[in-house]
Amino acid sequence: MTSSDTNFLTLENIDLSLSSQAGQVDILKNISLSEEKGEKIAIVGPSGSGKSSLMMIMAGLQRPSAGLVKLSGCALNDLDEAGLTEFRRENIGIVFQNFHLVPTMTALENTALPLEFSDKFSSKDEVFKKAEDVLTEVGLSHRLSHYPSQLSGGEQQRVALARALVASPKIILADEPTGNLDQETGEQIIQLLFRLADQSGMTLILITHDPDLAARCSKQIKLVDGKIENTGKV
Amino acid sequence: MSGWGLGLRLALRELRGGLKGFFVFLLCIVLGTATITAVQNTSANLQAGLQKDAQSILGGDIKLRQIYNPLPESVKNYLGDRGFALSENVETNSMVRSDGANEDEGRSTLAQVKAVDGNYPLYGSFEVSDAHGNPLDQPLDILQSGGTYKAYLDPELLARLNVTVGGMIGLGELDFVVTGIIQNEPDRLGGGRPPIAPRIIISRDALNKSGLLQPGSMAYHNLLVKLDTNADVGAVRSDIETDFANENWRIRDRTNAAPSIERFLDRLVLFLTLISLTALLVGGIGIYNAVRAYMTGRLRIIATFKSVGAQRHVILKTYMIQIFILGTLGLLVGLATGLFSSAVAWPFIRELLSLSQDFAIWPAALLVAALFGYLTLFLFSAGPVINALDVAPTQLFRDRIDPVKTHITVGYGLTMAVLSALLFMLVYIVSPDKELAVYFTVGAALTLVFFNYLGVGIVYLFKMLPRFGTGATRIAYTNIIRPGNITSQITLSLGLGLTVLVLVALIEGNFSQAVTGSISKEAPSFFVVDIQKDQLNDFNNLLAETETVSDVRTSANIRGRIKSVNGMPAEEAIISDENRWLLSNDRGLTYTSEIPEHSEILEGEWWDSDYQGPPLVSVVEDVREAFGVTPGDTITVEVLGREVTAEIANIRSVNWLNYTISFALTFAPGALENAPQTFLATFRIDPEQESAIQRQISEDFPNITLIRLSEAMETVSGILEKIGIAVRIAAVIALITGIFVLTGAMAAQNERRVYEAVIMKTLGASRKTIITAYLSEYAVLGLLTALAATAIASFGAWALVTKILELEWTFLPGTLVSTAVIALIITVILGGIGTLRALNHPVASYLRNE
Repeated sequence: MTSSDTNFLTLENIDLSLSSQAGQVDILKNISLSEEKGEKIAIVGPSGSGKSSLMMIMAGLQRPSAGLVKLSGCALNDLDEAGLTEFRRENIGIVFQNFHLVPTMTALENTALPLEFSDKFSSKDEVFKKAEDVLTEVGLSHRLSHYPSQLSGGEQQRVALARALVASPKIILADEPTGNLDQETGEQIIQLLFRLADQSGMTLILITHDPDLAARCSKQIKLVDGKIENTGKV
Repeated sequence: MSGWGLGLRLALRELRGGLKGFFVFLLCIVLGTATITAVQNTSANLQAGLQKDAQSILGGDIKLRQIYNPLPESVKNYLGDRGFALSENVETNSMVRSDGANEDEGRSTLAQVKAVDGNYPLYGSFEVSDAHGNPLDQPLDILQSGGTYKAYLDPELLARLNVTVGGMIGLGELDFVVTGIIQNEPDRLGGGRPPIAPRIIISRDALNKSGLLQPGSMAYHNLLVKLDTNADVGAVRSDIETDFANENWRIRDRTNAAPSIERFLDRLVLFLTLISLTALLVGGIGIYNAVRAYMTGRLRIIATFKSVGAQRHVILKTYMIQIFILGTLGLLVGLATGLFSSAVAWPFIRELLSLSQDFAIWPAALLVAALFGYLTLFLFSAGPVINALDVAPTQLFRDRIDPVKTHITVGYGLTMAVLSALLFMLVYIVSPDKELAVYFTVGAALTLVFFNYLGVGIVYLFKMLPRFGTGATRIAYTNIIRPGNITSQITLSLGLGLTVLVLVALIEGNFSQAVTGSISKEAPSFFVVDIQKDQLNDFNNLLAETETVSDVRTSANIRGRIKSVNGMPAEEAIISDENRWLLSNDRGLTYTSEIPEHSEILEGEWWDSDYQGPPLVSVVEDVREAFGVTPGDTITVEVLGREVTAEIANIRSVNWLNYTISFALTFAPGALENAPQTFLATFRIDPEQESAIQRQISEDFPNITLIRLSEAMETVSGILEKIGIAVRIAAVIALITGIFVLTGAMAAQNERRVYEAVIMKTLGASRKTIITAYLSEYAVLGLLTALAATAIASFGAWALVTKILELEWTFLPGTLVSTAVIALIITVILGGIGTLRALNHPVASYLRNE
């Protein structure tokens, strides 16, 4: 049995309500969960169930209307915007369905971005060396100077993955990482993602509509209408 | 790694995307900066030229000038004993006559006469050519040589008299042979009188014998002094003023060689600078639109930066550096274009003003233009950049990034306030007229705000209307009010440029109307000056015997200076700088028993028609404003050394532009009858008889000068036209900038228009319906903008014309209608181009992409 003090990720009584033109909308209702380090967790559920909102709260990109978020011993509620930005940079990597690479930057430059924004490195050479190493690890050593428009979908997602990993985060959040890829390419990305997560002991949380992919994770959280319907360990 | 270095790196990477979307941005900066650069650099060259040629323009290092009489021998000896070179000349206006093959071909015209001595000019070169354009050798020697009297004429005077070199002309009681054509008169600009007539140059000996110099004739005697190279001008001037403290002459030195020209040029440059600034401000709207569109396209990137841990200040620096780099590119092109324009125009300006200054590039002028450019750039681009920083990285989880609504945060507001203040300070510093700088800044800001909210207001009003129409009308109506409409962009882009154009046109039109166009039926045909006392009866008889002559009016004209007010020297008593003109030259004084026409008594009483008591004087409002006097106060005037102190009996209003003879000081009978005087007259005559009476008077009374109103108005119109060209060019540039801005705003909507057109075509709307809808939308907005622009411009022009220029306001419907038409044409054409492009987009390909 684990306590909230020793768990890697803790959400306690999370509510999220947002204002819209149609009035107040309750996105998440009374969400609580605790996860250990190194888990691979799939968040599943129908469209509009609040999966992305839940991920945003975990990433510190969205403040909950109520409840507590703790990640790696740090209460995100206590951080201001600058603090959240720094925390995210040091601890969280995010992979999006649409890749979200900067079109005017090469694969190497895209990957290096989190390190450039960080104060940890004093020289540019160090930053790009680290980025190059990570790109090599994801199999793109021959694409360092290519722009996103020159890369295939799978290659772009690899770059996105490299960018998410370059700062050695403690947790990777992936929102439908294979949603825009064909099956074969998607499978390659998932295998890469899982391998890297195992290598570094990172926690991996991904949103997916694919039941097979969800089944490959060590745990599934099913969201329906903003509430956790069930949580299953495989 | 953070801060400016990182921001620069990221900015350079972003610039790899090219300049797409920045065409209007760059064009706006180029146009605005180029115009200011051209004006500022040309102004600097003008000032340098006036300074460089100061001695030539003045005619010496020091100039002494007085009316009626030559300067005394005592001062000539004083200066000659100190070893200074001297030259004397006399300037006056007179009629010049030419005889044709028969009597009907003879002509006469007004000319500005200058009689020079053998030492002329002390500085600069006096250049005269023969009929074939070959320079005459030693033109002064030719002029001074014996035998027939010789004259050099301006080319224009030759044309007016229809004579050639070698022909004969009459001036005063003498005949002259036209010996050459004046090519360069080095001190023409430094003359004390405006060039209302072409020049004729003769010798002093000839002038003395011509009969033109009668007692009281308005002839100006100049003594020019050339100092040693190392002499201290200020010290010499001071010595003269001290040692000849009681003399009546005016003294000027080379540090202020052409004050009236400089004042005029200062005003013109200021006006042009302000219009150029307006062009830049209009361009600022284009900058704002372009940056906003660009930043909207960058929202995804910014959200990505935030998601990977970028601090807000790094993102801000990234995009501001990018804006700075692009802005600098535009600025450099603008500066180069402005310099090129200035270089092209300079030879024409130099020749017009007879300056020797070569074209030069003035760093200070470039600095001013660059500062204006940068401040405008940042003022209009900071807002959209700051706003875009608020995009939430959570948007990356959605398919579409919602545009960030424009909102004023504390940071946004402070930044705008600081930049606006800096821009205002710069306008204030470079403007010689500080009051006008304030009016301009406030006016421009209010106009910008007005046109922005005009769009909002139009949308609001249209929303209040019941839904009306079908088909095209309905589409047009909904396009005006829908979310994301470009109504405000149209009003803002077009409104300011149109306002400037109409403002300039109305001011020009009113000024021209006041000076030349409002010649009423009562305006005289001729002004006549220098009628001697003993000629008055014969002159009046001549007019009485001439058919169609009517409304003959005469006034005595005595030249004098205001010496003191209530016992205090006039220079100390004056309280209003605006009315300092009352002290700058001798004033015309007159006496009469009857209240002058077109005058209204504001304070005090007019004297009885048979008044015989102590001196009384009636003064105009300008004198009251100048000295703060009221009836009962005293004014002392000096006429040829004799002082006359009179009590102010009343204060009159007078309209200086009613073409009658008006005097600032009018005395009651008894005070000035015995003073040396000439007479002025006005009369009307049938226009077809004007030439004949002019010739007759010139022959019978050679010393009398006639100013033909129609000719004078022609000359003034010509001058106004030349000035108007420069001003109109600047105003048109402001409008062209507005057109480019509007083009950019419409282009930004193009994708949406295509989408709408595709949907409408798919649903069965005809091409005609779609075209009618879009063109109706643009036409309505263009018309409403034009109405607003004409209203604001009319108000602004009215205020300037009536309150500052103190002229009568004339409603010019033609200008207003043509503005509305221009606005309509612009919006419809631009809108039409966009519409056709949208309609020609293939439906299927667009739907397939969906």
